[in-house]
Amino acid sequence: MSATVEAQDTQVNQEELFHFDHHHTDYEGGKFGMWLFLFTELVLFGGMFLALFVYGTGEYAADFHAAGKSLNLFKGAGNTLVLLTSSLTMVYAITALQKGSKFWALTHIAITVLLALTFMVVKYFEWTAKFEHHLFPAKIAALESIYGPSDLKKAYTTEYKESGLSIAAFNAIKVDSNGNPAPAGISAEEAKEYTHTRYTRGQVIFYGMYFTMTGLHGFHVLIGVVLLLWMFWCVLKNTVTAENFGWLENVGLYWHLVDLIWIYLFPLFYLVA
Amino acid sequence: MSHGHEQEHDHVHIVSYGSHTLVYVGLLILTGLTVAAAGIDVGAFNLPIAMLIASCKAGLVLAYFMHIKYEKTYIQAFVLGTTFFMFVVFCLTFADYATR
Repeated sequence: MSATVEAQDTQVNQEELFHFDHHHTDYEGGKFGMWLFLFTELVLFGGMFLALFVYGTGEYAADFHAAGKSLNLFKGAGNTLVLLTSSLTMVYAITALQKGSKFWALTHIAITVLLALTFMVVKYFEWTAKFEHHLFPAKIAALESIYGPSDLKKAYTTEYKESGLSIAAFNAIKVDSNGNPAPAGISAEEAKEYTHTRYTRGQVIFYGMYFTMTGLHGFHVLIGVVLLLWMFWCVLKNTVTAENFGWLENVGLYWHLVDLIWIYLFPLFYLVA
Repeated sequence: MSHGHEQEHDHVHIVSYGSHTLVYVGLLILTGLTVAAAGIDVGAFNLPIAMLIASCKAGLVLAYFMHIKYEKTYIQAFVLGTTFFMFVVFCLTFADYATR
């Protein structure tokens, strides 16, 4: 490369620097900052994945397998397609904006938002189905009290006295086929349900991790919706444009990370377990 | 290499709709593959196979959708480094867990 061309290079670069200074943006710094944030997200979810691997491949492997079968594969796979498609419309939006088509950028952002909401609706139905089987995020700990017999006996006795039933009638609703009392602090209707559905410690851990990880992931999807709506506004008001699209790219990076996490969550919860 | 092209690479590397769609099709195929693979019981190998396919999908998303293939070397190095150290943490934990 000749000296003249190098000199030209320098000049153009300076012009470009000025151009970016003029808009008060640091494109590269912004992007790298976003990546640093994404690394912290990776560590946040990574720790949970590590716990899931250790529990799922160890002594609870059989429990995880049984519990995993109870998840709806159709809904899980459907949601995988929804998220993958939303990742596609996200990159379409960036390409559209870079090519100068504001209309298509807005359209693709809007489709991405709709797909994100679709994901959350499916998630809602999945969680509701679990609630019907008395699996609640907060109750996971209560279920585990099955395995704390000392407190249980005390609670069982107290509850029997308060119920006003005969011991035979009380036991009929409170004792399952193995002769184990149902956990304390639940109603008679719930106790009947427990006689049919008992969860082992491994299954309790599985559902605990399921609610925690898909819950945290769902929370990220909701944040993504807010960010995408904000981007829609920015593109609409021309603060994010074909010349200044760093924000849209960074929101895109976040959105793809949400997809990336689901890529691992799906097989671990719905398929392998 | 012409200067204009270089600049394009640095700042406005526009990936076409077509190549995005191609990556998407690849991701769909891999999703189908992972569901099909889970249906076959190969015992202890089910988990590694599923993780391998998931990592292929993650690689596609990272390289193309997240633009890593076109980024500067230092960003690529950071992504690679973070992934590597994450992998090391997983390996060390399992080394501990497996030898108890």
